[in-house]
Amino acid sequence: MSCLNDEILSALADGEQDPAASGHLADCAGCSARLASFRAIDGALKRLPLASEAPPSSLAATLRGLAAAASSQAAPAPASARGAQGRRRGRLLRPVIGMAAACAAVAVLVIAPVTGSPALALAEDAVTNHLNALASGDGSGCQFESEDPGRLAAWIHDALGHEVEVPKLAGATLVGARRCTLLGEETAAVVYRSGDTSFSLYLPPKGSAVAAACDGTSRCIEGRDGQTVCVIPDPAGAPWVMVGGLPSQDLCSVNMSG
Amino acid sequence: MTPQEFAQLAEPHLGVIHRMARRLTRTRADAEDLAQETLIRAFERRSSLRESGRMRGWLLSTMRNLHLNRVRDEKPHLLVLQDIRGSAAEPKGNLEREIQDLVLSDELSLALRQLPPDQSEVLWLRAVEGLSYEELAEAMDTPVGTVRSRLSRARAAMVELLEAQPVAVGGER
Repeated sequence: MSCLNDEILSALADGEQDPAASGHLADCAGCSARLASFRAIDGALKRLPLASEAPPSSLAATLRGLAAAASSQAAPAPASARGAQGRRRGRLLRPVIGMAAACAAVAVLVIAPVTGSPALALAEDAVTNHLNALASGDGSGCQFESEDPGRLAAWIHDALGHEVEVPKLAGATLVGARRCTLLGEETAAVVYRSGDTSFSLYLPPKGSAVAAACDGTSRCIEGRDGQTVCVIPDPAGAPWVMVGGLPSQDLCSVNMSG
Repeated sequence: MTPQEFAQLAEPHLGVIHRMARRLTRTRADAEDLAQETLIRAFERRSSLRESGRMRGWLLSTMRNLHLNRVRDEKPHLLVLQDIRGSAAEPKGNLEREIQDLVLSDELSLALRQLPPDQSEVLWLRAVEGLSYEELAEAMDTPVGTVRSRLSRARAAMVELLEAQPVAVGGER
């Protein structure tokens, strides 16, 4: 029998059985060495650092968020949420009402590792993005710096094509804005500073997975690394997500001045 | 397939998705974008997956198509070859042993990077991720026979690259 070709040797390296080829290998040092080389390459590839690299948590968060968001979109809005929406009148009232509700809820909120919770998936993603943004570049967390809400809204429109209303908050100073990805979708983030602490306000567009993940209930979640995440829903479908290294009550105390 | 079923079926494959995205792209940020986009696209098209057992190959096929669409319009990158070992070839011993030792160096990764994309992809997915020939065929949208021949060419090319010293180092401009 003549020497084995590479396709047969490759199949043998993958564990295929071939009695005739095996018989030849017993007598041919050249083919045996080549098969050993093929197997050694596979073994060495498995030991490369990348071969055991785990996926980032944001990937699992995206998956959970997609599933949860689709479920919440498919389900009818709870009666309490519909009632609350009906009672709210204008956009300017939303943050004050929402934050008050969030502040009220935070004291009793119990965070459990509920698989598929859109709020938790979103919180995980938002905290990761917030911390990464502050840890990179000049540390401001911004790609465009301005204290002018109008200029920031214009920059966000140019960068993302999103029409957003950048709020001024009485308890904080505007720093700038950046584009980021939450639950796999491009989202605008506005950065504020309160004392020595920066926090991010995410402004997901209507109809996005992030907006869908913010159901009709205001809430604050104690995230990892000392970060607090507050979700402020919006009857018009454009909620806010705030993330910052402030205690819940402090983050909640940042009120809107209009 | 419900959203929850999709999530349950896809979750075990997040590692494969992540690592393949890292191989296909140049930066971690690009890899994360590609992996996220793959999940979203697959989620949107989950009704087209007929057999749940084919999820892994189907996800990888989705990623591959997304990646190809992304790079199609990009300008070609110039591969710069340089000698990292000096001009003199070093003496060779047992090739199998040398290959086993390569895991401690970058040479194996560099050799893999020098293969044609279809070959490095199929070799990685077979050797590291353990995909079957059928899954590889699904992931790469090609017949099983082509998978076999690509794998054998990839392995042969790796042996030749690793035998040929000094090693060429890829860089991009």
